[in-house]
Amino acid sequence: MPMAGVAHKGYRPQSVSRRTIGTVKAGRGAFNLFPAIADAFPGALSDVVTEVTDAIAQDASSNAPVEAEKRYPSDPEPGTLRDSWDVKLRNSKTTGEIVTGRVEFKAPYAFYVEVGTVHTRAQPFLVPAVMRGRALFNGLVEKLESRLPR
Amino acid sequence: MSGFVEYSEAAAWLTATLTGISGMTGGVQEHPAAELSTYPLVTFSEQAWTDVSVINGHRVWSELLFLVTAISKGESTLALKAIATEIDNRLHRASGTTTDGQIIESIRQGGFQTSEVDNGVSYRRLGGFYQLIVQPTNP
Repeated sequence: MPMAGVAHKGYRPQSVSRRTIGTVKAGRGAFNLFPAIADAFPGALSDVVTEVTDAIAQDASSNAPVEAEKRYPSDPEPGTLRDSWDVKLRNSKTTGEIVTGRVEFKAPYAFYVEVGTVHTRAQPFLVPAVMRGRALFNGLVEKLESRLPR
Repeated sequence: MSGFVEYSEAAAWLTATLTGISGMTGGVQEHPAAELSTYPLVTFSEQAWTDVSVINGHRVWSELLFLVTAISKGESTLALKAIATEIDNRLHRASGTTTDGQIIESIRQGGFQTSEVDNGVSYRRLGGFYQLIVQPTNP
């Protein structure tokens, strides 16, 4: 017979205790922040996703190549690529919080600037921003606690 | 360790690792391909370069993301299948050493294919993004 409260292979509890954990007695009263933390957690993560997405967009935009002037009349205006960024945030269907961020550059030639063509060099501006954004995301998640109730 | 340029080590390793692929008549080149190249050929270009781990100001390793593609003239990406497959055989989950450093790991991060027309000539590219973790021999 397995010990109560210890998971064993093949053991299925007939009922699960739903007692609140994390209740700390303090003096005559008690406080329990776990529900508040749980409520705030999706919003805090959502803020991180939004901030990192915006940071990636700004980073990539500031590093997008800009021609000094048009070489041919048919060329796009200088700065078209830099200014063509767009951010799309997607919400969770269950919580409504933002769960993903997408950075796009709508200039039709943006892809070929990033990766180059057969005879032109690559001038990556988006992927490096994403790499830096990854480090930013990790740093903000490490400090996520500071965004939660204490 | 004094100076160390991860790109140089990675480029040397990529060139050595990819040289000699059967059917690749134009060799291995840093992107972009030279104007008078013979096709098919393989090029690589650095897409991102990040110092991942820095301890007390010393770089422990760096990650470099390379776009590695086989390029051919014509309108068939299928013609590049054998070369692109061999690129992946040689680079995905690979490692190695260079003159002053080591490639701890090379992993494909995603595939890549494009078609384009330049001066009336059609080209196809097929390959992938490979992330290399590069470390000096004596960090």
